[in-house]
Formats: sequence, structure tokens, C-alpha cells
Amino acid sequence: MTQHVGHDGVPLRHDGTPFPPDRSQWTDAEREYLDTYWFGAQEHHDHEGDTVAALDVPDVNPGAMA
Amino acid sequence: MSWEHVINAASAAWKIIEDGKPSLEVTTNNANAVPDVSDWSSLTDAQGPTWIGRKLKWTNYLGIDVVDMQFRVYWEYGARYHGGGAYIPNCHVTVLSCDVAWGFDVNLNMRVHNPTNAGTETAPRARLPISISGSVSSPLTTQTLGWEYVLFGDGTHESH
Repeated sequence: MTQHVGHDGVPLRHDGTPFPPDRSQWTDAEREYLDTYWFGAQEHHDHEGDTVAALDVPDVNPGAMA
Repeated sequence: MSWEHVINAASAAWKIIEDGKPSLEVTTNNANAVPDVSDWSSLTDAQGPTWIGRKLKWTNYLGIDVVDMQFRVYWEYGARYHGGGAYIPNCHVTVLSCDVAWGFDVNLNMRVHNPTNAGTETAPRARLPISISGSVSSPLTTQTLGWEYVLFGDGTHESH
């Protein structure tokens, strides 16, 4: 059903026209295909983080100028 | 009002990604964890920023990345008040990338909880808990996203 993806990222029907966003306008075969292959997606997560050494925390000196 | 009490004198919540696109709110909102004093803006010696973040990707069975996004939370740390303490004068979020394919939707929100003092009365160490939550959805499913972090004024952090 989906042979290509258009330049705007919309999957194309077999005849080269973009799929309409309304699911009711898809055939049963198109719906099954899109639900399985387009909307069926696997997730990958990566945590990233900078690491800095903990700073010492000095006492506040009320007499000092900020 | 006193320097051992730590407050957020800026924003407490904003949108990071809205309807699959970076929200303009990330450019106008930030949080902080500063002393509860009238002259908190006179903090000195801030360092950083340091950062934490996430890269998230969903790939469909046609091999197309239908959701591909990356964000980071940056915070400045180690800011002193009258030569002491370790406060967070600025915390903000940046969306480095956000590509969402046809039929998918992404929403992500930042929530900043009340900061506290994880140090002592004389040497306050700001502690700033944040939550990032949202969802990735398609016509078939909605997956909830959520992460909890605690940022500290000494530059360290915890992930929960």
C-alpha cells in the first residue's frame, strides 16, 4: 500500500497520492498496513548528562559584599 | 526572608514541545533556586551551565524514524550569596531537535517544584526538583513519558 513517502513526510498510496489524515477514508487493507508498518514503532531512549565535580559550599558571610 | 530559605523566583511550569513542535515557551521561561532575600540578583561566581537530557526515537517497521527528539535541561550552579552557599540562578530547557512524522503527536511539559535547602543554615545548597512529562501518541496508542530529576546548587544531580 505504502510504496513511498512524499517530500512532506506523508506516506503515499499505491497510486502515488498522499494518504488523507482521516482514517475513515482508508480502505481496510490500507488501515491494516498503516497500523502495522507505519504506526507500529519501536522506542529507543538515551539518557545524557554532563558530569561535574561537586563544588564545596562555603558559609555565607553577612559582612561580605555580594 | 533569609538566605537559608531557597525559593524559585521565576517560572514554575511551561511547555517544552506542543503538538509535535518546540514550544515558544522554552524561549521565555526559566526557573531558579535562589536565597529568599530582596537582593538575590546580586549572586556572584555562578558556574556552568551543566546539563542533563534525553534523546528519544521511535522507528517504525518501514525503518522510518517517526519521532526523533532531543532536549536538555541546563542549569547554572555554585552561585554565592555574600561569598557563601551554592545557588542555582538559572535553569532552562532547550529542544535540540524535534522531528515528528505524519500521524504522530508529541507533547512535553516542564514542571518545577518548590526548591529547598539541602545544605546547612550557614552554607545553603540549593535543591531544585523538576518533572518532565508528556506523551507520544498515534491513532493507535498513547505512550506516557515522565522523568524526575533533582538539580543541586553544587552542580550535581539525581535522576529518579
